[in-house]
Amino acid sequence: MRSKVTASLILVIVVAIVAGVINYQGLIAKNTKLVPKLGLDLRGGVRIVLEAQDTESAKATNDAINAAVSVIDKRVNALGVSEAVAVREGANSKRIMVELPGWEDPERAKEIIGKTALLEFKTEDGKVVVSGKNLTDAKLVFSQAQDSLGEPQIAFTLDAVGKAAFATATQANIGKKISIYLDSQVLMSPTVETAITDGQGVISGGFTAEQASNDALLLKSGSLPVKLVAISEEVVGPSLGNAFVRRSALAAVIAFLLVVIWMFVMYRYLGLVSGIALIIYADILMAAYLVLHATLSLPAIGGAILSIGMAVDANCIIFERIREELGMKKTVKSAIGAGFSRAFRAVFDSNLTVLVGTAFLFYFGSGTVRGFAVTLALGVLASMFTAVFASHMLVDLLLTPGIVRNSRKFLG
Amino acid sequence: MTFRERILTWDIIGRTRTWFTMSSVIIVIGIVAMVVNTVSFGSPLKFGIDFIGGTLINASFEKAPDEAVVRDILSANGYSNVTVQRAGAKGITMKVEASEIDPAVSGKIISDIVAKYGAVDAGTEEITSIAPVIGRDLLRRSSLALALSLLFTLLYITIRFKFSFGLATILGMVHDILVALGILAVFRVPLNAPFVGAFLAIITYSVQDGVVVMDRIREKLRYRAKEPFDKLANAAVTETWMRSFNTSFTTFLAVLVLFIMGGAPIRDFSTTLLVGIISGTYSSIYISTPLLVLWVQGREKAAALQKA
Repeated sequence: MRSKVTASLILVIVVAIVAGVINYQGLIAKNTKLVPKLGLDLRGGVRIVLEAQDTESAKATNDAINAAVSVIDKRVNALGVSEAVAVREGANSKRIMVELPGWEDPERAKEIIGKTALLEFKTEDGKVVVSGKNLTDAKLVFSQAQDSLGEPQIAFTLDAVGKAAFATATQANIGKKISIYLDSQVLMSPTVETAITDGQGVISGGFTAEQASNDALLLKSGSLPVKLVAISEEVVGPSLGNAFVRRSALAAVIAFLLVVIWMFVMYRYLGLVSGIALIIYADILMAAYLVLHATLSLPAIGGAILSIGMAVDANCIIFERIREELGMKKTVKSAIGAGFSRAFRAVFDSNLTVLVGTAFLFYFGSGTVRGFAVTLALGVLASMFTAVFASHMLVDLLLTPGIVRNSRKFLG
Repeated sequence: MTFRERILTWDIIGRTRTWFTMSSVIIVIGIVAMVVNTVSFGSPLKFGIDFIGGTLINASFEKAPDEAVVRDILSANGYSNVTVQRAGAKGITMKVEASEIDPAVSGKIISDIVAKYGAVDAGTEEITSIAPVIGRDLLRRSSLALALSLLFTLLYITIRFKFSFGLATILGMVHDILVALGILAVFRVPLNAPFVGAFLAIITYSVQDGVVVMDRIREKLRYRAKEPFDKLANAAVTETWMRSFNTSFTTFLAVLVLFIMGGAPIRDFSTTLLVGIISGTYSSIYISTPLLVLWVQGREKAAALQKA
């Protein structure tokens, strides 16, 4: 029994210290790999406004601007800038607003947004044979082939230079693969069966019709579907105000103290145990956010608060249970044992129900919904460790003779 | 008799009609408010700038304006649902929840700021309309994610408990959503992006709390002697009543502090959460459990009839 408590104690202390070191590195030493990521609402970032302009080859049509928005949206989100936003300013506006939370350098942001969509045909040894600049036309078609009937595809036509290069390359690579890359991502790697001399071909890559149409538009213009000019770029402050983060940190401390006071009033020494468990919980949770680079924005904070409530809940369930068991005139030791083991099913099922729900929210949701699911799921997992495992160990420690003399009273 | 002992004597299930009437009244008021809103404003709930778009005013001044002061100026000019952000060294960005702004009003706003922070830097003033951040696509995808998530939650509870337990829990959650939406409709709280988080939090809290109460009924069923199901369920909810109260009270405290200290920008968010916490705890005890009792009693009666 004693050795089990000691082992648990060591495990909890080690986890708490590891988490503490991570938090120190991220929050105080400002280790760049671990700095907390805050959403645009809490931290501010870069906002860029782009305006679509007509050029000879590409008119700034409604469709082209919408395609550009979706391309930019894909791009900024692929950067790992969580909760990045690209929206059109009004239904008929030629302006697109891009917001990148946590960014400080508008120049680099512009560079990435304006990056051309690059189509490349590469041979097996990685040599580029034809690139997007040799493309004269690209459009959405639906497959006529027997085995893929109706599948959305991109049909392309090459210019004279591209046609010649493509003919040579296909001739030289019969039986080998030529891969098609879009923005450095492989779309497909078909095996060349015959030399293609007419400069026309079809790309199929499991597109939806919308994707194929967007990508085709993108390819045709050689870059973004319309010419976009940055008309304003600025570093913006957090939308919830600069003082908000500081104030909410203070709010968290006050909330913590109030919760611990209430738990002490209700459960005496056990309440203090839940207070210690809550400190370890916050320590672990913050470290998990830093390591996983979860973006903290207001909805995510909602998930975090909720998980704190659930961590305390696990303690309430267990302590109430211990009180009931004590009421049945059991000894303190057996009441605590029975309390923890009987309450475990309730804690386990309620937390697992939540995890099942969050898993689906994460898998099918996007942006805000995902942020919420991540913070909540991390909270549930951390609370299983602190509110159940660590509290059990702490209560056992309290029972060790000499620490609590009058053990009957430690529940109040 | 202590308060704890007194709780055990409460007849919660016996007053099912009272609880159902109370909830029905609150929900009906909410639905009436949604109908009235639809008739007079065109939508059952008030959607904010993130859902319907709005107008953006941008300008730089001699001195850097303070966000809170600018928010007050906007509010004095009739725009209380706004996002105000610092932009660059001395600029300020205001997102206002209106598809168009009367030039006279926007001029007044700018001149009010000028009065405090000095003249507008030449060429920095601009007024444009912006599209919603949460488009229909995102909303549709999120709803699908939520529906699937609830379906599998129901499946999980069915596996671990019984289908009837899952159904009662989910119905309790529907109750909480209706209460929350109703209150949002009555007070015409503008819904913005963070609301998505608050809404998900209410659903999660409701289901989690419901499962804990259902667990006690499940446990009591295992040691059931001949006692009728309503007595058993009543014992289960009275025994877990203190836990339910303490849990929701501590969570309530945490959100209340956020409500008081977070200030105006997140007041709607924290209000929604507060309503959800109260309703979520209430529904597990006073709605889901009575519903389960009605279901089980109905089946037991049917089984008895078949025997006879």
